[in-house]
Amino acid sequence: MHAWLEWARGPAFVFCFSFMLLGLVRHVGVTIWEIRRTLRRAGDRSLPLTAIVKATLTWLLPADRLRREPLFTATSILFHVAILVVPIFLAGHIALWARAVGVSWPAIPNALADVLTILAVVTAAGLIAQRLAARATRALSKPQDHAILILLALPFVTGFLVMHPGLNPFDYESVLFVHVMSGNLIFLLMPLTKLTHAALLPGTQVVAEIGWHWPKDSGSRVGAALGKEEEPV
Amino acid sequence: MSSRERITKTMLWALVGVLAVVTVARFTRGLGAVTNLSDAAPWGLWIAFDVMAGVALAAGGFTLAAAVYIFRLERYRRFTRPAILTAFLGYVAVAVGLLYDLGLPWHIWHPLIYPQPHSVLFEVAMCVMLYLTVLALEFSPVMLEHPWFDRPGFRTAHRLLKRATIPLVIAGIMLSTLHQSSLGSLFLITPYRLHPLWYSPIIWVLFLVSAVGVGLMMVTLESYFSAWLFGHRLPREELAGLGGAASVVLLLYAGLRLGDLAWRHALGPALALSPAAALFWFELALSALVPGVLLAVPAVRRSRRGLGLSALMAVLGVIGYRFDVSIVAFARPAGAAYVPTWMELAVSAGIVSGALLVFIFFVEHLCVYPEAHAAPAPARAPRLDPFGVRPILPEALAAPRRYSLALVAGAAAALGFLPGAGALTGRPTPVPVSPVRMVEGAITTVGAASGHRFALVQTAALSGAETRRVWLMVIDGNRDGRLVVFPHDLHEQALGGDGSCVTCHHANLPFQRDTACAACHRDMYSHTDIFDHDAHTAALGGNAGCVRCHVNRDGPKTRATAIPCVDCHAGMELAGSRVRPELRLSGDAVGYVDAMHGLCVGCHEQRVKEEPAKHPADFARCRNCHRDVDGGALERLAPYRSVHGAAAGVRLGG
Amino acid sequence: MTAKAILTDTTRCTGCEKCVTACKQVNGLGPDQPRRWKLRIDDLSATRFTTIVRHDGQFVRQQCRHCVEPACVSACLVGAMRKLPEGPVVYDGDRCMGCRYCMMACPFEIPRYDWAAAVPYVRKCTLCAPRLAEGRIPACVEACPEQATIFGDRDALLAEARRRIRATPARYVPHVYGEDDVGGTSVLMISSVPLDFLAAGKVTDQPLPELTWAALSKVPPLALGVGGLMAGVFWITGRRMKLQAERLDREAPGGPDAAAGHGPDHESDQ
Repeated sequence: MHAWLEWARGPAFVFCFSFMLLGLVRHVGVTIWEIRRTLRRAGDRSLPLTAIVKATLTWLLPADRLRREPLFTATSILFHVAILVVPIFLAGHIALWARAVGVSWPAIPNALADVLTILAVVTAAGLIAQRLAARATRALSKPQDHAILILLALPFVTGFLVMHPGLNPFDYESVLFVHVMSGNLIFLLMPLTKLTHAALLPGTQVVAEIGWHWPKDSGSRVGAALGKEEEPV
Repeated sequence: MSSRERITKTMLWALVGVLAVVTVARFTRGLGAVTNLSDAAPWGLWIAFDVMAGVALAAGGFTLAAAVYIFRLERYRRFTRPAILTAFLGYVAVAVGLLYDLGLPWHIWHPLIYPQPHSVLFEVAMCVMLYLTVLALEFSPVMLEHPWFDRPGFRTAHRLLKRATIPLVIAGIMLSTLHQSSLGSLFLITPYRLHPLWYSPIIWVLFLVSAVGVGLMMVTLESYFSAWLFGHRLPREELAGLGGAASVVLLLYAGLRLGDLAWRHALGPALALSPAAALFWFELALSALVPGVLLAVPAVRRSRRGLGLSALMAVLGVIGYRFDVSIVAFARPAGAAYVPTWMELAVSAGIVSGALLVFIFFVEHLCVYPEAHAAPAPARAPRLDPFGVRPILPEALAAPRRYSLALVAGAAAALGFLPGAGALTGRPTPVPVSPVRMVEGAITTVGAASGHRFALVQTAALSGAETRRVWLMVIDGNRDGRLVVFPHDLHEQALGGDGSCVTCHHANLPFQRDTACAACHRDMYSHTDIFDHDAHTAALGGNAGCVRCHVNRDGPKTRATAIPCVDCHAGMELAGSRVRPELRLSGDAVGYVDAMHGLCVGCHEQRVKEEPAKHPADFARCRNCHRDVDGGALERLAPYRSVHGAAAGVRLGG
Repeated sequence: MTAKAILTDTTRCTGCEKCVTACKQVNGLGPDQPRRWKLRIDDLSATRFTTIVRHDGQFVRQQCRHCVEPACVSACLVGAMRKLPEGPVVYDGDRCMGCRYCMMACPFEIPRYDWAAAVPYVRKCTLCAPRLAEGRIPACVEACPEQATIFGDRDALLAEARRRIRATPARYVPHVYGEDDVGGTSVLMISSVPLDFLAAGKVTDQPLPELTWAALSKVPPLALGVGGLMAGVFWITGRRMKLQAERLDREAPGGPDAAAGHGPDHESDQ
């Protein structure tokens, strides 16, 4: 098991983490490329930048939405904060980075990490519950949406067990292995699934805006507007 | 685009992704870190495959150009464009491969300003450089036909290039003849190092003739490839003609090679039962004899499978010939094996993949296959769902998205496999082993349990039936300035003979500086870990016991943040113990040598200092206790002869 | 300046390796290279230009032989290797491309490469050319406590070597290694054991550059010959096709269009 653990946090981690980094960079690049193409095709390069910035900020800091849907919005925000802060600022993780590449940064107290970890698991469960509760979201949800939430919660559950061996009924190293590998899997899936929004979020509003930049005469030439002129209708 | 084409391109892009990462490693860490090249094997895969074989395989360009433009064999005209494109991309790949292989690739243009015309390599470099230009000019009309270039300036250039076809073709043939043969001449200067079965005064003729033959076979294979990939029709009749010509050339090559050996009365080694002879015959059969004979049969060269198989054999065989000359049959001192690393293979494969992608791109966008180009593209099936995952994406970009993903996956995989698990910084640090030297000595086997004793010079103490004279290696094993006798062969024997070298000689691994003696002989020198973590976990009740020692909840759980041993093992510290207090807190114990010396040497030194008159001058020196050192014999683990009393061995205190 | 040389008498060498230490010091070489790039732990490497090889109970000093007609100099396509008139074969890293053909060409397998470096150079003994320029003798010679290695004019050293062999024939193999081997070298050796093991094979007196030059000097005529031949073939095939077309023309009036596709100017409409 020890050898497997070394493999998981050695080569396997490097592969998954670099796949995530390169994959997200690729997503950003492809998106920018597509935005340029669309703008050029439309012949209309004006962008309502202020509106886009405003919309992005509204989505990032949803004060308004917090008022309208307090439970879902709060769960979502807490979930995001927890899953971002804990993996990056956990003392044990920072020690691993320091050992591997010699870079370190301030850590959060482990007690706070514990709280946030529990919060992440609870909010993940809450998000699933709310998805299943409302008929609209239940209908829109694909299996992937639930699976990703469960996968995101997995390293937090195992991480908590690893941090609190007293509460851990399983073998320490096996749990640590599941912890590392589930983290790796998340990295791997990040550029391949909707987790991509980790990198694409700032551009969402731009993309949404660009969606309305149709080429001129699009109304009469729908095929050309959709880039499908060669396809028979 | 067929799914076959899509899958092929996806795989090629992934290989290019791997290449990208290895490229970064190659140019930041240096040749030594990514290749298995060494002083005994200065040329490896990149020269043998990318340069030697690459140039030979690209010979189809000038051969076909000569056949069609000079000999006016019009029925082969259909092959000229793909052959010239293959040759052009092949030479670009050669140049790119060379950039990886050269130690100082930014000096690649130096032959232009520092010419040394007595060097064969200079002639090769100039010819390759010029021929690359000729090939670019030969191919550029195909590019200029593209509607995008339909502008006045380009039209003029197109017309001029068309008019220059014949001079360009003749220049290409001259340059090719020169450097294809000169690649063989490179080895004329190594009569003592190239195996006699491969070394020949006419090796340059052999290289040229085999290149012409394999060039034709490569054009054949390339037709098979495009037929497979793009669904083109296979021009069987014309290919059979090429096969017949190749048969003549390949058999000529085999005849020249054997005839040359016979003429020089050097056939002896070829008839001997030796690995070299086996390799010689295998290579010659694969490259020329078998395909040459097979293709001489009209039925074989007209059959799809027979021709393809013969072409494949000839291509692999001639690649083998180039490999043999530049690597396998090139003498290197015994024990200096060369096996390329996966990174060398990845570079070669990546460059070929890149060239293939460019080839496919040209075929898709230019009129490389005139007869196939006219055919209209098959209509695409209608898509019912206009709004996919992201509706604003133009359909055309779907393919690039797929390939960029393959690129990224390849790059990430390469990072995962890179030595040092992807750390792109840091290079192997040379081991500081300068004081190593060999001395004459003797070795005595004392007994199975006690091991061996060594003497630097023959002494009476070590003479006897069990003693033999050896060369002893004296090394600064722990990098602490103390020399010890190091019996290399005994270590090798104990660790499992051949292949056990890496146990100690893995100094080349990144982040691994060296392997000191103490890495294995922990009990001898270094502080030793006497803390058994598993035993403690078990004794303290499994997982629940962690917090008994790792009480600090903040920060990582390491030995530094755990409680000292003495907090639990209070009785461990004996009254009046001479063990130094700082050591009682950790799980470290001093090494055997330090522990034993620590018990005695301090007192002895003190005595000499306090009462110099009462004690001999060497009272605190090694030989005071290690009596056997007298007479020059230096022993490993010399039996300590106590002067204080037989029972205790040491007498503490005053 | 007359050609200088080194004479090493292996029967006098005690293997103290003072020459190695002096060489490392003078050339500013660091610790030896890692094992993976060499064969023995004390093998020549990018940071060890000379070493003592134990062979048949003899200490044999291995170093660049500074051939009179060096293969490495002839091999180098940018002239980074040069033979100085006073003897040394020296290397100029500013010209070097790093092709390592010199390492392949050397019959004594001497040049070493700085494999560990991202910017690598070929490294080998320089016969202390910078010191010679200052009028000093090579560091290894200066350091040798037994005068096993001595320095001087090549002719004088050759005479001395022959004198020693004549004086005590029982002690030496009757051959001055380097007198004529591969055309002669500037490092001469006399020994009680055969020193052929230092070379890649049993070397002859033929200078290696001659072997290449035999082929290389044929290059210009070969190129012109091939070019002329191709032009001739082109003209002949063109003429033959033209005659054929004319004959067809004569035999079948109105037929030239059918034959035009095979005309000599066909490539212009491709």
